Amino acid sequence: MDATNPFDEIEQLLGRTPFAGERAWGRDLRTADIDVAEYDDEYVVMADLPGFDRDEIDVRALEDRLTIAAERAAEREDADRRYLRRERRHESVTRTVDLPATARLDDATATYRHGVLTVTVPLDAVDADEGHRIDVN
Amino acid sequence: MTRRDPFDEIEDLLERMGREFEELGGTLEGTGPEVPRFPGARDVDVDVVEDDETITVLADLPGFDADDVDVELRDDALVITGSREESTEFAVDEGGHADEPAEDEGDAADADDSEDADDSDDVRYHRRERRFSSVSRRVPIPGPVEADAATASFDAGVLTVTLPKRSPDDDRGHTIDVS
Repeated sequence: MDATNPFDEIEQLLGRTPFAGERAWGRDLRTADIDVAEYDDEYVVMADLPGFDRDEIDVRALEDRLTIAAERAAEREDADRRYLRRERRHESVTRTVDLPATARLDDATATYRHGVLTVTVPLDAVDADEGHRIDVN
Repeated sequence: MTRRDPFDEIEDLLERMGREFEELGGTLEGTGPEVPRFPGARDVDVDVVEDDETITVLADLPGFDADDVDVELRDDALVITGSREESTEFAVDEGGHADEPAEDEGDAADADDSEDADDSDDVRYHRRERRFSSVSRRVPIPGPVEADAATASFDAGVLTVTLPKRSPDDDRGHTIDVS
């Protein structure tokens, strides 16, 4: 039942966990962590946006730039409700990703599941000869 | 419960170290996002909120299923673990694609092509900031709580654990009737 592997914890403590490297050093609370993967025919952007509703997330594509914005109501804090620890990201986060010129933004789709937004943007096929062909008249 | 295995000792050691690191992290935290954090100290971001009756712990675990998340109250700390199999990295990706044809213009051929692309090594990551591996976090709970009455829910990648506070009078443990 005890799923915690003590060696994992040691590794984490030492900061040797894969992918922990860059991110552990400094973090901006107003952005989201993203993966950007380029496949042959599509660009896939995945963003960690835990704790949002679908309608609180805004995805916009404008001139080869994809902007992801999410905003939720601020958590209240008063005399009866005290934060002993507050590390989770802000109520409002935005992140912008540059897309290649071949991106077909009109055909982009987005899904939100388990706090992860996945935006898929199809790419136009690049000519097999890897260049722009100029017709000779 | 009194069973002692070497890993317990390692855990104790880690907890002591963790407390010190947390103190360190706590002092760095206030100074702004540019300040380096201790590596690995923030595997799961948590909020801990206290009101008169409860202590609530909120933990960001984006991309995990409720089944992947394990919560355990050990002594005076809440241990949160999220674990996935290695292949989930790609399963997540494919999950996205699987949803696609329904919303797409129904270009089935296109969807097939993209799945092929996933299976091949033909992928370039331009950014890779998200965590895929298993994560865990030990959150010290300040003050006694009713472990049996604790509740947990998981929604949109956020785990919420509500721990009712135990009144100080029954802090001593079980009351045994004297007859």
